[in-house]
Amino acid sequence: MKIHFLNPIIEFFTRNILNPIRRYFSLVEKELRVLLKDKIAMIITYIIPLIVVIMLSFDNSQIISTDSNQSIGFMQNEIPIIGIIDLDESDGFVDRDISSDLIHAFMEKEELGECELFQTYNYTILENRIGNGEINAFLVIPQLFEFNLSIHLPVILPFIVDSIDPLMFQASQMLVESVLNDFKSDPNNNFNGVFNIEEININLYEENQIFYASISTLIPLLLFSIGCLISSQSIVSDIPKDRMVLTPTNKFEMMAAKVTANFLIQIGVVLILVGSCFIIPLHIGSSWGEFLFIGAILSLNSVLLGVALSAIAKTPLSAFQLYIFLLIFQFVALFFVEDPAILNLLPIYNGNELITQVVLRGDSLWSARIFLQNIIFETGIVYFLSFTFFKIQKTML
Amino acid sequence: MSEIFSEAKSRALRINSMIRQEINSLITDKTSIIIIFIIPLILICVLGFSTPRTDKFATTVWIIDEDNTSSSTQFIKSMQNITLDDGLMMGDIAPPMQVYKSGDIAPIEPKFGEKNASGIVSKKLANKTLSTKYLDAYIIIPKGYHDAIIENSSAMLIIYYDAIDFQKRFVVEGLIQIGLTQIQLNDMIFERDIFYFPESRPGNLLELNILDMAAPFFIPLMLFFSMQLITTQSIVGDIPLKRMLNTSLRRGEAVTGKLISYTIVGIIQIILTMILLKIFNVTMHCLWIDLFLVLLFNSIAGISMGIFISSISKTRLQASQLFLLTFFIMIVLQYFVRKPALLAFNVLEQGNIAYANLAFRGMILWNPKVRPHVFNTLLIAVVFYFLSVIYIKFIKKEFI
Repeated sequence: MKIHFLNPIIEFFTRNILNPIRRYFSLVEKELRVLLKDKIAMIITYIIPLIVVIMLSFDNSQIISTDSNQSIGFMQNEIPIIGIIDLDESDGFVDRDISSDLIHAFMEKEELGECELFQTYNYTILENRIGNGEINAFLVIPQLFEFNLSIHLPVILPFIVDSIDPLMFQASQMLVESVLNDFKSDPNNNFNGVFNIEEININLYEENQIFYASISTLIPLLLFSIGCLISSQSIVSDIPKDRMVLTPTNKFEMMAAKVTANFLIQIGVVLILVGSCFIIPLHIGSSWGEFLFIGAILSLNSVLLGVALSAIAKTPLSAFQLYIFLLIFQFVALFFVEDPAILNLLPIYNGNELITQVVLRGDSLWSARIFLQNIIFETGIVYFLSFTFFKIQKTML
Repeated sequence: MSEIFSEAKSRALRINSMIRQEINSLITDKTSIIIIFIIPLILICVLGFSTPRTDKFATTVWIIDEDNTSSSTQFIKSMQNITLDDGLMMGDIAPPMQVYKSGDIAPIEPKFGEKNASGIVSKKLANKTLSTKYLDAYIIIPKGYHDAIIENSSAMLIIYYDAIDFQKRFVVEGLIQIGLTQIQLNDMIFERDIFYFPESRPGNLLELNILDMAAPFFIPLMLFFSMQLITTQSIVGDIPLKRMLNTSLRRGEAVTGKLISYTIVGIIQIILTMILLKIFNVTMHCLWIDLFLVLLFNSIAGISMGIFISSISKTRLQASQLFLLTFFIMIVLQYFVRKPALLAFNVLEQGNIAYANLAFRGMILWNPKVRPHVFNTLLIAVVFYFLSVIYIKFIKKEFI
């Protein structure tokens, strides 16, 4: 009697809760099998972050020197060609020609292979050469250079830089700054000016500076590109899905399973990235758990965006094209767009801020909540819209 | 002789029909066509309408005054009132700098549940706040500053920088340097020193819009990767190709046909891109045809690499993942690793230099500063074309 009374409840529970859960897990298993079946694709998925991390960790040059006796290795492949013109004929120091000494300091850098020098007495030649890209910058030692220094006055050197090549611009500036700083602090000169500055860099690590500087951009970029790419094929390339709607499986379960399976694959990428950072080792301000959490959030976002693209696209090729549009748009916007209204919409930008502020700086997730909110809000809307689109899709039987 | 001509003619006919079939299938996929042309349209419009903003690099500096004299107060006042619009740093677009002195109330990192938080500027708090985003550097004016200035016209300053964000670290250093220079000029404190102020050539570069500044980097990248991604699906996703290869169509002809048909699509994309660049008044001090050719070779290299990726892949997913791998390797090589021997074969770097030399320096295509980069790009295109032919002809099991 008792059993008979409970039967409808059990039946209801089985039909509406237990069976959907069973179906969901079976679908997740099926999706995982489909994904893992393409072994080469899976190997490439996990090899991409490894290759990027290895390439970056091999470059051990420093962006900011931690040892004042060593020159900075950063941009060592950019050898600027510096023009120099000495217009100074003034006297001020006994037995010394300061402008010649300064030129000599540049020549020493040339001997070390850190720059190429081009000396002339004609200003127009320098202007022409910089216009033709034959030199990257030129420095003018003005008249009264030595005299002004001798009477304890500061001197200003015009420094003309070719801004068409931003990397050479930076390399030229770094070289001139390094030569002038050494020249000013030389005990024979002591041209240190009014302010004798002692600089202290906090949170500066000797090892892996290039890796450290690039990781905040590369981790969100890698997670987005890999996660979104794989999941962008999940619906559009799934031919049996059209038959599956004839079974009790509904579209909500199908989509949830696709998101879950792709997310699980992505977690592997997160583990590889975080694990590589741990091995290298990357000095982080947050806990490794927070790092994993941020990686997981970014992965979920990328998977949902990919599934959304897959729901919208009519062919696998269209899905790829929509994906590349999203990827290139974000990549370009990250470097060149400065409008916060646009930037806040980009998962890679929000991820970049979360990695910089929470993982590297060690700020609390609470203080960086705006970026977390942006991602969660975006993820929710994208999931809802893509599900709606998937549900009303006419291609389904 | 007539046999050779007849063979060449039938080969040309086969390639021609292959191209027509390929373009027909591309045209029928309206979404593809829209996307191919929407990518440059949206990206160029977004960058074209953007103006440089410096809020991203807004910095906060605290000054801890341990001297508490008229000189140190004057120093703080001058630092708080520095004007950054005199072209010393990035023209007229210098980022703003917020300066707080000891005893001021400054924003600090909020605790959980707090919307905003603030604290009284002190050395202890500065030390604690420096690694957060609320403080980028702090300057300590040590005891004896006033006496040193009066006696020697020279005094010690200690500056702590937060080096977590390298880019911001350099920005704040530059801003502090400008501030210190202005203090010397305003307060007439001089001691022998050597300053240098960068002046850029071309001088009007800073008046350009973001699209203009980004064009040498962004245009070759966009055209290269959009064409490369589309072509990564060209062979692996072409189901009828396997059957077609049972006809008189040769494997090399299939690759050539695909290369030419995608090049035609690429040409239309380049023309559209150049029209948009003209509308946004992007700098082009060169012949249109020269720039067109540079971009065309850049796209052909992308297509050629894409076809190779497609040839060696077994599934669509593998093809797009190999595309992604190529994308990351090229980006990391171009922006982070920069080994000269590898850069010579990085199409993005070659396209970037060739574009900048043509559009900004007004050089011609045959100029020795442009020619090698174009040659390298073409070389890469040719190498990948032959690799694709060889792979499909001798190695790809599905087609043998």
